[in-house]
Amino acid sequence: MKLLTKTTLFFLTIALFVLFVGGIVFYFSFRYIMNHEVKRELVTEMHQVILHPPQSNIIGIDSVVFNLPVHYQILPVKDIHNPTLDFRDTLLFDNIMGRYQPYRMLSYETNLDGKPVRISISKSLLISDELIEYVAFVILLLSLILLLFIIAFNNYFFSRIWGKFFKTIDVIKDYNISDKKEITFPESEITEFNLLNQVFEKMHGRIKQDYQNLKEFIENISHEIQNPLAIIKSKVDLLQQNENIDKSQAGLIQSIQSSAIRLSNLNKSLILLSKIDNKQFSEREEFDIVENINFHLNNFEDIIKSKNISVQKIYKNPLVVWADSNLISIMLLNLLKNCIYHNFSSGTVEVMTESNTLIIKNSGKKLDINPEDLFKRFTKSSNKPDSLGLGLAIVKKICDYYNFSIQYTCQDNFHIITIIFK
Amino acid sequence: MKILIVEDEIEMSESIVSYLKSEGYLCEHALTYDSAIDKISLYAYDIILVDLNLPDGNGIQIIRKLKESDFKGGIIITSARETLNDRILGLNSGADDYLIKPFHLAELNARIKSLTRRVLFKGGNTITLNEIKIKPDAHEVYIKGKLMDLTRKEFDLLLFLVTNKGRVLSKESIAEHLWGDYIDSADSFDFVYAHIKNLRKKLTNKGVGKYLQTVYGVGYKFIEN
Repeated sequence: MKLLTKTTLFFLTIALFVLFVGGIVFYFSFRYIMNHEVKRELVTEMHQVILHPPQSNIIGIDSVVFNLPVHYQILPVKDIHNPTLDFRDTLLFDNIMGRYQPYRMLSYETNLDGKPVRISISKSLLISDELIEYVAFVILLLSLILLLFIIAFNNYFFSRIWGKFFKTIDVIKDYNISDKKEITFPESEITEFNLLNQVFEKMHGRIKQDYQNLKEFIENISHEIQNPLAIIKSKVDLLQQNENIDKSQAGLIQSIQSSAIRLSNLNKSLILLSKIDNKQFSEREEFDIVENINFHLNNFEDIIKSKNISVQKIYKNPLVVWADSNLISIMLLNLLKNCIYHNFSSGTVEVMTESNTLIIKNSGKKLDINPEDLFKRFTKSSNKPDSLGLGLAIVKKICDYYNFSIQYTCQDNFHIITIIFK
Repeated sequence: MKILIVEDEIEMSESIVSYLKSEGYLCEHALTYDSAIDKISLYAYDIILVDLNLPDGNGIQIIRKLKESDFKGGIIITSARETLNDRILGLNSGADDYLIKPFHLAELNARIKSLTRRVLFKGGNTITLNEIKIKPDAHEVYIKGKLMDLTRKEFDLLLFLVTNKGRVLSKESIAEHLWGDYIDSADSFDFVYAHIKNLRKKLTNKGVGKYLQTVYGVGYKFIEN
């Protein structure tokens, strides 16, 4: 749930609760006050009647027909049973409106000219009821306006106050550790957001430092490994020239050499990967893919011939990319090398360019690894333990670097790599 | 032929000296920038191997100094730096070749021989080994005066074997020489074997002696009898 929705809902719930409870309290207290007022007026009327008692000849007259706000009724009674005041609500017929209307009635028994009578003074409640209705309507209207204002202002303040926060979020979202450019957070008038920005800035500084250290460490170590490897390689070369070594020694030397070479190739490949990660290939030039493919295929010509692989080249159009020539060449070399090395003898290779797409299709044994892992580092087929398993990881990295899309599909005994150069 | 090896790793430098000495070169080595500068100002060399990373200076500076002093010999850079930029910088400063560490000594030997032909003999020389005559720059091989039909890789292989004659060449060094970097050498061994087989067959068909020998468990060797 969005923060805005959450806070708006929260405010709305509270406002509705307060308005509901307030409305009920207000309604009852208002009614109480109105009733109290009517009661007071009735008592005042009663005192008026006591001060200026009416003539006894009006006994039995019902003044309701005159439709006065105050209505008197004086009725003879046998005895005075109950001298106390009696308040009650009642309905009296209104001649003009032609219907019963609510009245508040005060009745008491007294002696009028020595005759016991019951005097009832009634006051219409119509006005006070209307007033309550009107006030309730006004309160409802105000509540609605208040609610609308809560929603509108909440939206407004939300975008005003949290705007800087979302800018900070955007900065972090776009953040890429290998990017050289500095990140800056928007200054906010809110202390908490500035605090958040400071924390992020500090964290960024630390991460960057760590990343830099790690990068340098990897570069240094890769570089420093090359020297001892060069020494091992040269010593083994010298050792191999020795006439007196026997078969088993020759085998040992051989395996030292191939391990040293593997280590060296591994190192080179990892350096290459980390260089791509560090975006150290910023130079770009026009690079002819077709020409480079032909160059590599030429280089493998003898191998292709000895494996009796038939190569079919379908160049529907020239394919030129704007990239680092070295990287693209390494990428194509790895792809083409794979489709020759992992091919059957008398197999086929098909290279096709079409608009901005390069398709390399070759026959070969079904993968014994998960195709999804194909582009991951150190993924290698179980029957090639000596292989580094970095070739396709490098290809993928280069594709990612230039935003080329690469896809692997397998049909029967054919492996198809599709690269779309964007 | 006199070679100066400028290399700060003493073990590496000793390996190179030992290999090249048995090829009949006169070798001297300098471990630092200063001693290299001293040596080139005092003595004359035909070929200089320069490592770029020296404890007290940069190999590029040595090359610049050599070029200023009108040095006529060949210069090979040996470096662990392998970016295109480093290579371009090195070659632009006046070096003739750039060899990335770690390298095989046989590869270094082949590069030195090729440089000797290019720089000192202006490419005009031929390599003769009994009935085999190789013209490296024309990519031609003559057996008893008759032109032999070889593929490009077979030619490269033969030249590599002949320039390192009497030496044992491992399959790895051959694979690296033929196909370069970024190749898993494990994948290439079969093809080295296939190439050797084809080359041997072609040589035998032309009546060439059994110079191309297999050294069991190690690699191959080209002998002169």
